[in-house]
Amino acid sequence: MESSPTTRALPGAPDDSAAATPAPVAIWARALCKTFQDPERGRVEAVREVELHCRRGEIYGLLGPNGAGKTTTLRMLSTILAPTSGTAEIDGVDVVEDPLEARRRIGFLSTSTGLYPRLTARETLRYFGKLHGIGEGPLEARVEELVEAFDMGAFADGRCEAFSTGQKQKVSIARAVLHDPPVLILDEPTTGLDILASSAMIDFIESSRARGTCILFSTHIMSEAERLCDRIGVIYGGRLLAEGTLAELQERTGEAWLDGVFKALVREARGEEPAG
Amino acid sequence: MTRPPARAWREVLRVELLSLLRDHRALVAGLLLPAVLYPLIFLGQGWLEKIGEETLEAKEVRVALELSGAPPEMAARLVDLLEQRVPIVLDELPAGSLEELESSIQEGTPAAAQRERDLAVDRMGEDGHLLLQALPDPDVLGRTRFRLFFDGADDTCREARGRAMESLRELQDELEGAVFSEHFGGDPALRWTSESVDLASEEDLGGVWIGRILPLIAVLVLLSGASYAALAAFAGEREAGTLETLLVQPVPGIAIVWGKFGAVFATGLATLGLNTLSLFACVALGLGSLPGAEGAGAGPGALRILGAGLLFLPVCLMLSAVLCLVCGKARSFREGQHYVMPLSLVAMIPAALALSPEVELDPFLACLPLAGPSLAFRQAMVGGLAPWPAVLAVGSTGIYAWLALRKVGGLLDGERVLAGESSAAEDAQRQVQSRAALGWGWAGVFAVYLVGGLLQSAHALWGLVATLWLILPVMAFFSARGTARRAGESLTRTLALRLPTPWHLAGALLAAPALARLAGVWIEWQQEVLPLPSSMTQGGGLPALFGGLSGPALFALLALSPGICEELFFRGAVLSGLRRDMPRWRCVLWSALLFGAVHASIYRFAPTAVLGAGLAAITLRARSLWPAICLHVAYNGVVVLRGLAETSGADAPLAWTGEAWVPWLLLPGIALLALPGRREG
Amino acid sequence: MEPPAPPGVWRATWWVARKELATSFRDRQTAIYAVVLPIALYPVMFWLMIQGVLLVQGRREHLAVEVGVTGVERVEPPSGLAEALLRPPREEDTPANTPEGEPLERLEATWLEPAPSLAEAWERELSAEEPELRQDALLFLAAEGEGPSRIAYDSTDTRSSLAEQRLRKRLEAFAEGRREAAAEARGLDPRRLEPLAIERRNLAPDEEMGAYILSILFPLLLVVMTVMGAFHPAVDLTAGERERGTSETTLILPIPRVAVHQGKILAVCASALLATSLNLLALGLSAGHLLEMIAQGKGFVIELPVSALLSIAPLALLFTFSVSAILTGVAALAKSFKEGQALLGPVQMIFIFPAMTSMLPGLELSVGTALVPVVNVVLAFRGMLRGDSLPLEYSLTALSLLAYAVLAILFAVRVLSRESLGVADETISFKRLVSLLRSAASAR
Repeated sequence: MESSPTTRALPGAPDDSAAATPAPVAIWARALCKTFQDPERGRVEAVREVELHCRRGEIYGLLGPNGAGKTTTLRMLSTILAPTSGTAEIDGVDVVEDPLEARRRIGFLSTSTGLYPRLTARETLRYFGKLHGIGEGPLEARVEELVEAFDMGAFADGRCEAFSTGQKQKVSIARAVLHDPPVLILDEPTTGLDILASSAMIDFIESSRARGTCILFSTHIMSEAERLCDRIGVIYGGRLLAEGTLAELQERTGEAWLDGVFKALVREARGEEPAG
Repeated sequence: MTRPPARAWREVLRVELLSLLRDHRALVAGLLLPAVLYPLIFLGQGWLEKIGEETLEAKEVRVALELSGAPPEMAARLVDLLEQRVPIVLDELPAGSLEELESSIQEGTPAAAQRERDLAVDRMGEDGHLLLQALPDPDVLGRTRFRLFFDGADDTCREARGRAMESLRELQDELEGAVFSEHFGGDPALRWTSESVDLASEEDLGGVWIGRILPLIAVLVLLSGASYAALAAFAGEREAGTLETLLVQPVPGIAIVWGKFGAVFATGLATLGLNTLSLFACVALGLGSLPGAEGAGAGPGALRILGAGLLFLPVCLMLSAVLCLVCGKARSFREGQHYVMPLSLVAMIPAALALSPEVELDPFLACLPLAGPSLAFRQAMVGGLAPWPAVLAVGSTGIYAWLALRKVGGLLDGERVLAGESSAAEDAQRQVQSRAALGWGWAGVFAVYLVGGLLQSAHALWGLVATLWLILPVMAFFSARGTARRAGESLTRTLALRLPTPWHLAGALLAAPALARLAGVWIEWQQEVLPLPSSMTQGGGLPALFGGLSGPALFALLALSPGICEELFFRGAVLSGLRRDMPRWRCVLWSALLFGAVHASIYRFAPTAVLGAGLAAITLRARSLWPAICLHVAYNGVVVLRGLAETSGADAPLAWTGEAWVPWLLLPGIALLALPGRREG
Repeated sequence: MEPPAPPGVWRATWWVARKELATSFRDRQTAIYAVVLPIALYPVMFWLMIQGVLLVQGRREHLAVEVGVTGVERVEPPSGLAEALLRPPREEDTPANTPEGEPLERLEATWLEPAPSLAEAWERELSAEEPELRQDALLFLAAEGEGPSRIAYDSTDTRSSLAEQRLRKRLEAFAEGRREAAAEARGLDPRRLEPLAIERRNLAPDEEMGAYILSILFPLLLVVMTVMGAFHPAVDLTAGERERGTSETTLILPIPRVAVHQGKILAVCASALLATSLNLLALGLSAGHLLEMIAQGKGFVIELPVSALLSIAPLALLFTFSVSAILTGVAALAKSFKEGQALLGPVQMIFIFPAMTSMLPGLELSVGTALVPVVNVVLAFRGMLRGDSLPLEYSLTALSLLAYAVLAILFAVRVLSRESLGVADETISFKRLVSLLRSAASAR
């Protein structure tokens, strides 16, 4: 993976000048807000002033309970939703100004990203490949490469509606990385998967990092976050309560385990007890 | 503390109705809208027609007149009459300006017709609508002939023609009166002219139109409203995944079903009531007049409407039950919709019988689902409902409703429901052969009806030959090939072309004349209930159609060919596919249905269906196609040749087939056919 | 690594359309409803109609009616009247008897006791003790040399109406016979009793007549078929996608939202076209029989005007596209198949109601009506079928269709694209829609 020319010093971003040639920032968000107008509940602030960044070859975990705003944040970053205010960039492309360009640089996967039931696995990959602008020859080669890599040969010509969960997961991942994106955004990627499939997903995430992809994923499973993430952001009630490496968070809250860290941060946010 | 079952179904009913009522958007679209729309459409029709008429009447028409061929007083009187039909503009053409037309008219060739057109249009002028010519009648001395030239494809021209015709008829009446006075001192047959006086009561008249259209509207509206509730109660519950939860409640499944059925029934009734109200409201507010009821007062009394409406209660029960059955099978709303649509189409047909005033309620129709109550309702609205047909209609519908309700009771059997997903798919897998065969069967029926019909209307003889020897064999081949492939056997085996046993052949030959004779008896009896119209009995039938063909040729065409080709397709290819994964009795039933359908006539349906059933049974028993072919050829042969002999009056070669003892041949025939076939070798 | 160059909007649209069509028709139920049902429906319907007509005809011919003949004084049956009443006047090619020799369309005349007036005679009948003995109609003869006689009947009763019809016609024929006899007795040519003859000459060639008849119902039929053909695919491709859980997948496609939406519209359009063409084909094939039956009664031959049908094809195509755009746009607001159907139901009505104006004989396509939606299309179809040359009006109609389609697409893309509707859990409510429209409008 060649390095991107984007290497800016961003206001508010941690100072990496001390490290040797820090990897370029692939995702950054500043003051990201999303407000919904619900006819019954009125104005709902789903995401408030979220700021984060993630570099190439880094895994950033967004941690929080359901309804915290993780999914909304990720959707804004992947251009599915438009932010009410704030900015974000994917690999140097502004998601508000040029969402199309941004989408071309993202591989997005979530539990609600289904597969077209009546297409076969190969057809699905070809379809997405074409829409990404990959030429016919290279596309065929790439599709076969992925079929081989994910061991889909046995069912690649079957319709997606007939697949097991594990098979669907493989196809979904293949689809997400088909165009070799520099950024992967994964929304609760292991929810609903059994042990084997979960493990496969984790392996995939790790290998993507090894290839230099920037990975932003959300989860509410603490053990996953502990194992995978280089940096963790804790989100609650639409706000990013804290972010940093696991060690930094542990130090800040004085808790050894991540779930303790999380609870401490939430208490602090609620104004109950000061952390630390 | 468990609740007694009796309360349980009420709870289910309450919850179902509550969830229905809370879905505002769908409530409006599914219930309110049809209730309001259908009457609007029907009434709007009448209103549109009225507007159309009035617009035309207000249009100015231009008529070119050349009346030199008529006596001057007649011409002048006609002009007076025409001028009364304003707005109208009359252009008088000079005498003799239409002479050239005569030769074109006499010639009668297409080229002449074109010339006539051009000439007439030229004389009328660009904005002329009608050309009216008077000339002495060539056939009758002293009579005047009036020719109207007009463009039948133009509305204004037709209007002009209409006005001219009115004037001419008025003139005719006047002149006729004058002629009678002159020669006979009045109309010699005055006593035999007639004036019709309608002595129907006002209330009866008011009920006529309603009685005709309300059954159809009611059925449509019932279906749309109740189907909505049925889909939500069954398919919707499945889709939402809440069915399983419901089934594990300590409540008998039957209570749940009754509760849901109650919701469906109540919704149907409510929709029907709403609809009827809106219809009457429209009429009362003058938003649309009921055709035929203008000036007939307020229409039928409320009591009569109520009474007639009660006739529809069992219909509502029956339809609700059927909808529950249909929607109970569906696994999603979408799938359920796909089942409901054909049901609505099918249900419309018997209800539409009430539209035709010529269809009378008789015991036969009274027992037909939906048709009976619809006709009874119509009769009730005009005050002419006899008790006996009413009882039959209500009673038969009640029985159908009860039969359906019994099946509804078994709908929510836990195992069926939970096994639903996978077993449905498995079933589909397992029934591949019979489904394919059935598809081919129906395709064959349609191909024969549509394509074969087209071919035969182009050329009776060769069309029939093509249908029998081209369409059927080709379809048989492809169908059988598919079956053979799936079963991994040869084509000849699939088509059961192996040699039959001699006793089966003998049985077939014995049974054929007996069946033919019995069919004759049936047709005679059928005449009582289903009399053939004269348009079908005239024309001399088949011999006239294929006039000129010799006996052997007719036999080959009408007996041998159908015998071979139809059997090849229906009992060879289709039956072979059906029997792979369908119980025998079902195969026989489908065979009967398909065979009856392909002959495309309600008059021939019964005998051909029975024949089809018999042929299927024989083929299954004998495991060979040849006995069926034999029987079919012999049967057709007997029927055709006897028919021929009767019309031509010749000494029938098969006169003995009309004897009384012939039907008894069926017994030994069946006995022989019932013997087992050859062992599988 | 720079991602590869993206496809253009139109190529992307094309690919999306192809994929949507492929997946639509792989669904067995869609295939059945789009292909099998249109082909099967018309033959079955027409066959049923024909059989229904035959059934009614057969029963009517075999129905014998009873008529009572009475008058103020006792009436002696004049010679020939009873026989004249028994069976219909002989026409060529109509058998007078059943194959067994029974007269068809029987009318049994019974001579009754005199009554002071028609009304009283009728009352007497109605109050007869046994209903079976009641007469279906009454003929109250005028006195000798007077007239006309009167027929009393009940129009709400089938048999009574039939009795009145038969009685009237047979009396007319009997009267005609009497007049001819009277004329011959005086040495007059009976034909002189009709002082004038009327001959109608329809100048329109058969094909034009066929086109005219077609133009009465066809435009309405075409509109209804197009709307119904586009309905199911529209809901399936939009709300159905939400149900299948692939709406998010579609939203992350690296192509402009407009391309996605247009692709769906194209797919809906193609499905609608297929369904409509199949409908028409089946209609044409099976209507042949029915048209023949109708034509026999009227004495002219109907030919299907192929060239006229071809002439309306471009406008029909444009209409299909317009309808597809509108229906797809509306259906996209729904979250599930069920709601999509509920939404589209009323929308269908909006199309079908105005389409009924095609049956108004007086209405014509003008510059004014060319701008009224749906009405302009049906009137244009009608005009084209009849060969009316109205280039300005047709162009206006075409332009308006295009305008509506574009508006629908713009509406859908603007409101749906970058909002949470794409992944919403609920069908949009009217209030929300209005506020969205307002914000979308002001955002520009």
